[in-house]
Amino acid sequence: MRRRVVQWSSGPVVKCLGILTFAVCSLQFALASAAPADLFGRGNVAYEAGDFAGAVSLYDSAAAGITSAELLYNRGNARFKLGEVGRAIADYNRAWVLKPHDKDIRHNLAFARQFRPDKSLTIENPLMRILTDFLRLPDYATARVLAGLLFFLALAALALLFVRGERLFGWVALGLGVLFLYFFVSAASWSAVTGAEHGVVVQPELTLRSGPGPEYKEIAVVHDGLEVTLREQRPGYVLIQIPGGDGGWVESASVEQVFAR
Amino acid sequence: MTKPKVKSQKPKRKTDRVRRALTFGLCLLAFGFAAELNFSADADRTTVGLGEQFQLTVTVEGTNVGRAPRPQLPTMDDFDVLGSTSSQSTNISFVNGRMTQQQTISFIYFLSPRRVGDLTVPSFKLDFKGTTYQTQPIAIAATKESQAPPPSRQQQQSPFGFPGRSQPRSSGRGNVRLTASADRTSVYQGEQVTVTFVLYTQAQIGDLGIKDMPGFTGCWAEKLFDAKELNWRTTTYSGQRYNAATLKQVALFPTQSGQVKVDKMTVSGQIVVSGGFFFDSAEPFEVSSDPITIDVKPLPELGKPQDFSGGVGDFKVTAALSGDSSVGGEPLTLTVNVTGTGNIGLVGEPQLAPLAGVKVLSPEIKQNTRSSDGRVAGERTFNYPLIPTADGKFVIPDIAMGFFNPKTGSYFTQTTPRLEFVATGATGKTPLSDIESGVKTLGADILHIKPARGQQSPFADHHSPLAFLGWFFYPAGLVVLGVGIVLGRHRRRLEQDRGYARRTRSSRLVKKGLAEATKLLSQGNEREFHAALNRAVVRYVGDRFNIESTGMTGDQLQAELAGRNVDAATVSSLLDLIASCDAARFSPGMTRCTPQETLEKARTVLERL
Repeated sequence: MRRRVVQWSSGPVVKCLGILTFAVCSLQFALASAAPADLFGRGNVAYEAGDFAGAVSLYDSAAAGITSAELLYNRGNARFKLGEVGRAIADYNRAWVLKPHDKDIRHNLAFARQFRPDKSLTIENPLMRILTDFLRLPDYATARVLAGLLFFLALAALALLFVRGERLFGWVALGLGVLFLYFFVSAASWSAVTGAEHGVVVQPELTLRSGPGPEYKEIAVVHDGLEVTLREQRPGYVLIQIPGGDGGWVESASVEQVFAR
Repeated sequence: MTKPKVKSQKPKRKTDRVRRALTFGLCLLAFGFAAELNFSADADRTTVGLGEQFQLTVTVEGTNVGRAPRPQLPTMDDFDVLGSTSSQSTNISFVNGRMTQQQTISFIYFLSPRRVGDLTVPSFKLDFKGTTYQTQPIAIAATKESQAPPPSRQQQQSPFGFPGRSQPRSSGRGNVRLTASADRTSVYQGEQVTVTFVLYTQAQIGDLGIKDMPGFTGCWAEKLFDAKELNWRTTTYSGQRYNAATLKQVALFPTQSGQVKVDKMTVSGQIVVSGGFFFDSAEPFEVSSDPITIDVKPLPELGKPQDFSGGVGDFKVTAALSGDSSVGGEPLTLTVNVTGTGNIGLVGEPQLAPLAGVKVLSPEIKQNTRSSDGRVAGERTFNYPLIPTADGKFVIPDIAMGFFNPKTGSYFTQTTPRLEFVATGATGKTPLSDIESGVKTLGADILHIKPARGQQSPFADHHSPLAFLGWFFYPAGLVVLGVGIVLGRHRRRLEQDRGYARRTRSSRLVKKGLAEATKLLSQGNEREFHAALNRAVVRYVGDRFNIESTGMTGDQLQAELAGRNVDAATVSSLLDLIASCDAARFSPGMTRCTPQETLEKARTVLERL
């Protein structure tokens, strides 16, 4: 006859975690939604009045307090209206990572990309496209949190299997492990997109040089809105790689980093 | 010196302004005329024999003239209008990414002169967008002689106006008659009536010509037969033998209800009279057919489909697309083809449902008619240019066309199956601002800003500290797993190692036993207190060292404990304690210690064990 030697319940632990999470969320809500929300609204009013430069300034101030897909989207709109296609693309990219399924964001990102003088000729593998879309069903933060939570639950189920010796916990652990793998790979996929190496050219015309300085030879000319990869940072200069593999050194201010670390 | 200069400049500037405005206006006017419309008329020949027909083509040409009305038909005293038809074509071209659309509408009239002489086709007028356009009059010379192309050499030359096989000779003057007959005198509007003109003669005739051609007012006339040569046959008419030849056969399709009159035809010529042995003489003659009146019944309103096309007869409709895909706004052609027997020339264009994202232009209409067993048959084709203005998959819904079948006296509808095509790269590629009808794409812009909603969920921000909550779960999970492994091993050992299990539970059980003894002591039950204390101590010793201590004598217990390296003083204290408890239980007066002292002694011994 099996004797119950150890009595353990996960209920109190989950409750404690829930209360902790709720408390932290509420605190952050209370701290963050006062002045920035007001600046956000005033930015919208300026935008509606046609004062796009004023709107960008207000959105910038609001962005210092909150990170919101709507805010970044609206700032992208204001920048696009000002003719800053590159900066608009950077904002739309940031908003897209926060809300990857928002059709407005996707539309405006695609629309702004049409105005780039430099067109990307990269042909995407359709199978990779399907796989990427599948992996990016959840947004980055959700994938990351769920991956951690599922990892915890899978190991907890495994622990129960060790303690109780019942196979059911083994199957539960396996299922949770598969889900964990999906969200973990999803988070990794998002991580590749939100890396610090992603940048956008924000000058109408930009000359790439062979070294970090004006004395180096000019290699190529790129234009506003081109999305590039930041390879190396030097004081005042950055080495960028353009689609297709070529690259060169440009002044740091001429390229906007999309996701800061 | 300055003032006069200023004064003299004012009128000059005004004059310049007026001049510029006038120049600009004239340019606009010239551009408007040049770009608007070209209206002209042309005849396929200017010399026509009496009784022959010629073709007059009135052309409306220009951009966006698809809605131009039909030109006003002038009063023509000198001509009979035998029939009319129309055709339309659209030419689309892309130059430097801009689409130009040139449309040509041709109104074709079949005319025949009523008399000999120098005749004039009057001007046609067209009112379009507030401007009246007018064609030039066309001079037509109508001659008595036929202007038809001469017969081939192999063809036998007839001595008469009509060439043909030799007429059977007959004696005497005899009668010459001209009849006009219709195969039916009561028809539905749009139903075919075949009118045949036959010349009967009992004499030999020559120098034959048509003097008056009948008019077919209120009908669409389609020629079935025109005698280029006379094929005589022998027949009986009014009980007498005649030589008969068909001069003309025409299919009429009434375009209005009521009574339609077919005017008389007049033929003139000469009768050859045998005058003697050597010479024949000739006498002129002129015969006319009787007019025919046809009762035309209106089409019934009951059951008339909304998509009635005007077609009366037996028709079939098919539809096809020139392709299943369009790239970069490239136009496709939707072809709707109507074939069958009946008034094919009066079949109107089908009604297409509006298609969002696709610009449907006016159709180019082509028609081909033929005679089949005395009935007019053929096909009428409507070619619609389709220009995608958006990307996506488009479905052209069923195209329904209603017709009237005069045989059954009822309507029927022909429906084509749905058609599909895919358009890619059409967005923003085709400027459609010059097309008047349909949805206009004027431009594209980013979507509007979103309302300020304040802070969104902290989890959505991947830079938020809460988003890093995921990282907390990884070490927590490992800790939980470690605890599980330890607990699992502990449990398995409890199940497999009895000594470990007894040792593990010994402390808990002895605490429980001491608590029970203390409770009995507090109740004043000293005897039971000592019994409980003895049980707890003996059981603890058994559990602690995994021996069956119950029922052991003191010596046995001492031997077991000595074998487990328990020091002798502790064993002695234990045995003394057990003896004290036994004495208190069985000889209450013999005890040397109080119960409290015994309890304290037991605790000391248990701690040392």
